[in-house]
Formats: sequence, structure tokens, C-alpha cells
Amino acid sequence: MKELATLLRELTEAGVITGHAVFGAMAQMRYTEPVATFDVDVLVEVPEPNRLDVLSPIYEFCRSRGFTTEGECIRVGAWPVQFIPVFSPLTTEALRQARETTFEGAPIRVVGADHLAAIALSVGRGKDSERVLALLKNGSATRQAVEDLVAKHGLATAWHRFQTRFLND
Amino acid sequence: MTDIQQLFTRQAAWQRSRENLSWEEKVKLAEAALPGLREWRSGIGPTPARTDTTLSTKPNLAPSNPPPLKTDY
Repeated sequence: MKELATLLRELTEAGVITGHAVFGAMAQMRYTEPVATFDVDVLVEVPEPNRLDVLSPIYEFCRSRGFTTEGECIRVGAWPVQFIPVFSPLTTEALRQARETTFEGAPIRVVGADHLAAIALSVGRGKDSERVLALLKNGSATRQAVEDLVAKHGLATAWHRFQTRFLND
Repeated sequence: MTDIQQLFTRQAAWQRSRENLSWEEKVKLAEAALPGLREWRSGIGPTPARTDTTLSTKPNLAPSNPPPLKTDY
């Protein structure tokens, strides 16, 4: 992870990306107990978001630094890393409001718990529901904050479904 | 307190202790579990309970030239 933090700093300094934030299971672990995961997901903003091969500059940069690809991921240290361009107003907001933290002294940005819960809610798989529940249960995401994001980003149906299944008992 | 209640109490305490680890420590735990997870996914280990690990809602935007995932484990 420290290698990833360094790589993200270099990508930013080179202008290949304009912003980043770790999300998914790796971000969840910042707030809950550790969870099993196969890879690291990183939201990125890029200078040319509308080009078809939007991730090519990232792959080229990583290749030039000696990193190898592993499927759709780039292997960084022990972890396959998947770079995902922001794909909705919610993920854009999550990236921009991400928390600056450090990993073994290296600065890295991580999506906040409320946005992480809202993104999981919007995706809606079983493991995403578990993520929302874990974040709400230990208080790292608050129901009010999630409801604010739900209202702002049109997630009322998903939230209603989640509440019916998990919170209204 | 019954034996079962004691078990749940210990379980809850154990979960809280894991939650209170630093992010670095949690990532290292996840990293230590990675080889076993990979083995499990490849089918070499115990029979997987699920086989839908290819399901993903994440867009695959990788350039087409990276090699495909290894399937001949």
C-alpha cells in the first residue's frame, strides 16, 4: 500500500491524474474490522475524461515505471490495483471530499465512510449491503449523512429497499 | 450468562479489537490473507462456496493489450 501511495503521488505530479481516492473494501477497512479482498480500487479523475481509452495514460505511466498488468489491474507491491475513473456525480463528490490520510507515512486519500456507504448502496450487491450495514453499525457512517446523500443523488429506492431488508426490524 | 451468551460476548469483543486496529495493521492482515484467497478463487483450495467472482459492476476500461487473466492454474 505504501508503494501505491507513492505511485499515486507520482501520477499526480506527472499530471496523469488530477485526483484520487481509495474506495471499496480497502477503504472500508479504515472504518470497520478487516475484510477479505482481492484487489485495491482507486477512483481517479483524469485531465481528459472523455477520451475512449481514458486509462491508457495511467497504464503507460505505470509500464514506464516497471509495473506489470494483471488482467485489468496493475500490480503494485502485493496488490492488484484497479483504477476506476469517476463515473457519477456521487463518485466525483466522494473523490473530491475524500480524507487525506497516511499509510506508513505516505500521504494517500481515502473515500469517507458516508460516501462509501452511499456508493455501496448505489451498487447494491450482497457484499455492498454488508458494507453499508457495517459502516452504519459501528457509527463511522451516520444514518442522517447517508440519507442526505441518498436525497442528493437519487438513491431513494435503493435506500428504501435497504431499510426494509436490514434496518426496519 | 449462558455458554452461548458468553460466546457472543467474546465474539463481540474480538470483533471490536479487530475494528480498533490501525488501518495499516488491517491492510497487513488482508495482505496476509491474499495468497489463500487467490488459491481459493483458483479452485485449488477447498471447494468455493460461490463461483460468481467474475461478477463486477466496475467498468472494465483497461486497454485491450494487457494479457488475459491466467486460467491454467
